[in-house]
Amino acid sequence: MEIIIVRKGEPAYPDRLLEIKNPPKQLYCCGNLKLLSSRSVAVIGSRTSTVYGRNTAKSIGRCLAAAGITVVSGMAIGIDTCAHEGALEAGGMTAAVLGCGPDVCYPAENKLLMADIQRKGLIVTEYPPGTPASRYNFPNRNRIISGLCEATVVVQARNRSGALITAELAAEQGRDVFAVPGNIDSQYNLGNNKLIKEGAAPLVCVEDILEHLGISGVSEEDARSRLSDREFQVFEILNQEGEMTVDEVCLKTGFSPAYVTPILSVMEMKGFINSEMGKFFVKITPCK
Amino acid sequence: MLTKVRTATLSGIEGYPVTVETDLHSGLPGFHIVGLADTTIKEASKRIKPAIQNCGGTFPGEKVTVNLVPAGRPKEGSHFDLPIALGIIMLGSEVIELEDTAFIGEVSLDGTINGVRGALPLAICLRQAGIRNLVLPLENAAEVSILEDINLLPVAHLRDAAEYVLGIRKLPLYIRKEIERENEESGVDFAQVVGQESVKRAILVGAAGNHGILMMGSPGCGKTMMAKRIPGILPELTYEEKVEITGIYSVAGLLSPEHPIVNQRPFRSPHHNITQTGLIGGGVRPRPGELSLAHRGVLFLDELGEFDARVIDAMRQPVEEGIIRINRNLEEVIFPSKVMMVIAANPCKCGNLWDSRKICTCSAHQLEGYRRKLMGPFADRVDIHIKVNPVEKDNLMQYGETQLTKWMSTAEMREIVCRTRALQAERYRGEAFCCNGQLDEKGIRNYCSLGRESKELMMASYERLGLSMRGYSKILRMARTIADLSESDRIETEHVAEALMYRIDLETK
Ligand SMILES: Nc1ncnc2c1ncn2[C@@H]1O[C@H](COP(=O)(O)OP(=O)(O)O)[C@@H](O)[C@H]1O
Ligand SMILES: [Mg+2]
Repeated sequence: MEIIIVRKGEPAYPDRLLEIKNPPKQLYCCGNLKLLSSRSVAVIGSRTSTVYGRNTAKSIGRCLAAAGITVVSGMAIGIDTCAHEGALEAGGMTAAVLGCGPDVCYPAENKLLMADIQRKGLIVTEYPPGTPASRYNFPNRNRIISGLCEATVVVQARNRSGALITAELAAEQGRDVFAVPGNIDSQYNLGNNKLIKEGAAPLVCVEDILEHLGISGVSEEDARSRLSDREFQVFEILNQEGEMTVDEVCLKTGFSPAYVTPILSVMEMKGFINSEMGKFFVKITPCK
Repeated sequence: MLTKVRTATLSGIEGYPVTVETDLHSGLPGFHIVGLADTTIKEASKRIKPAIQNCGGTFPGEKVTVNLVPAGRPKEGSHFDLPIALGIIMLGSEVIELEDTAFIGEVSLDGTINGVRGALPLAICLRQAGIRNLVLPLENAAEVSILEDINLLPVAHLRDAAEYVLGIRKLPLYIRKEIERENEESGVDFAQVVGQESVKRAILVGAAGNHGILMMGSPGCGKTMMAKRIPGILPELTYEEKVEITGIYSVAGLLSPEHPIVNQRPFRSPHHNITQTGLIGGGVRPRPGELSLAHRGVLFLDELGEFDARVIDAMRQPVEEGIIRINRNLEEVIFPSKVMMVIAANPCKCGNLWDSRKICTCSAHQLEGYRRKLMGPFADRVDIHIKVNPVEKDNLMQYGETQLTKWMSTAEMREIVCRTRALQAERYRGEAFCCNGQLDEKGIRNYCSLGRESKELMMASYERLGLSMRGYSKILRMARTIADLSESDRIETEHVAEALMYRIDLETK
């Protein structure tokens, strides 16, 4: 895999990093350089985490990636790994910022994930090839994670987690900080809950972050041009009402299920709507 | 001195004729039954002796040997009591001509004749063997009366039967009662189900093409309610089907004087703690299980997630093949199991996953485990998967005013089903299958061709959903039914699109 060096002052160097206190002199990159300047959100957390935390990280990763947002994280075990995986599962973009050389896999068990990120996303670090992972590098690395992103989401963090440092840096850099609320009887959530207490925006549902980023539904013109009249009619109703069951669509339109079902099915195939738990809703994609 | 009395025995739900030969030898008194008789028949010796004495006869003081012919096939059942007792009574007496008369019945110690299991299939095989008159327990007469070309001579006591064979008295012929369709108005109707039009539509597709249905949804949204109404929309049973099903219930011992004949499509809903034998059938003397009791009707598995995974797995082959083979020591017993499979399942273990008003307490691990258990190979074989959402209160109000509820009453649905089934029967005349749900790969190739546009949709979905080959055929079969519902020869894109909807969840999420 080719390592590309992007120096401060070069066009590929992301503007957002220039805004932070001590921007790195150069970035060693492996993969898709465009991700350095794409719309990005950091999704981070502790290595030790609960199933709830990891699942949430995954679905946030998935949701952001599906909306065309690059998911940035640190490739650590736990929350970070899940955030990357969620993004990849959704077929979207993800970038891993390392605290070691771009050719070093840390932690070693993430070898496959790292290869996947290189291939489909981006590996980025300020440390030259061959630099081993050192715990002194991580706090430094964290400023790049938050610096690359419009917003940082702390999914789950223990009391003295590195993720809290990243959140603090993000706030210092003038970026938004979100924290996922966790149950208060678990020490795994002490960090993220504390962030909320200190003023981070609580992420009550995954869509909160999309709304914050100003991301709304599929564009109407796109729908009008690619859907048949019958389909567009149902599309518009779904777009107005939010999520609906087949029966609710029938009730609203007066059509029979035999008429509505094939239309919903085709629209799902065409990628305009999604269904989950028996309900249909218009797919979220980034507005231009 | 040798007497012969004709009777029959059961193998599964089929009978075959047997002749009871009785002979007397001089020697020490004794009573022997030979010819692969099982213990129920061997016990006959203990019942018959006192029974004969209790109705004033004498039991021979010599050596009695009873031989059951053909000797090579196993025989079972207490209904051998009557023919064996009569064989002994007839020894050394003048008897009437019995060449075309057969006997079945269990005898009590006091000579009373009790009803037996399997009277109908026994009668069927005897009639085929040329028997004109059947002497049988009074209790079984109503059930056998479904057969029109055999004379039924019911008896209540061994003495009556004895006097009949000895020519002392005649037996009155059983008068057939008209077999009515009991509780024609069963009180349940799809019109009572508020909303759920999309589920009713899926059920209509399932019933019309004989496809299995899996309904998934939160507790209380009407899954059980709708499942119970499915038999009502299936075509009425034909006479042959009634005979066949009544035969199965006869063997299972489930007929009663009040319900001697099964004349409506069965609906069986076994509890989830049912054993494999209870579901598939079997036992030392094999009896039909729930799968066979639901033959030509609906087998409803409520809360599939609660069933033992092994029991579910054991059902796979019988459901697919439509028959159950049970091996016992000497023979293979066959029970039929052509059922319309209807399954209800909660979306998760606690049931609340899909209900936005409630909170699901399942862990991610539990969710995954539940899903894996549910969506295994068994559910995969069920064609239609449909999501059931609870009907919202304010929607409930609106339904009264729309036309939709009126459209989906049981009577109307049944009419559509019958029309669509007739269409399929016509098209598949001379084929091994008679409805779309049974189409094999070759049938699909011959009868489910797609136009260019629907082919494109299929290919797109193939990539998107990552459909399995099995899923692919299922969609084609369902699309055929959906086209038939709108009486379209061609399978159009919208038909494929609707069919896709019934697989989307299973194949992707
Ligand atoms: N759509 C509906 N229309 C009318 N009654 C309903 C409907 N859904 C549920 N009910 C009522 O709620 C009861 C429980 O429904 P049930 O079929 O047992 O739900 P499930 O099997 O999905 O848990 C039914 O007996 C019925 O009285
Ligand atoms: Mg129920």
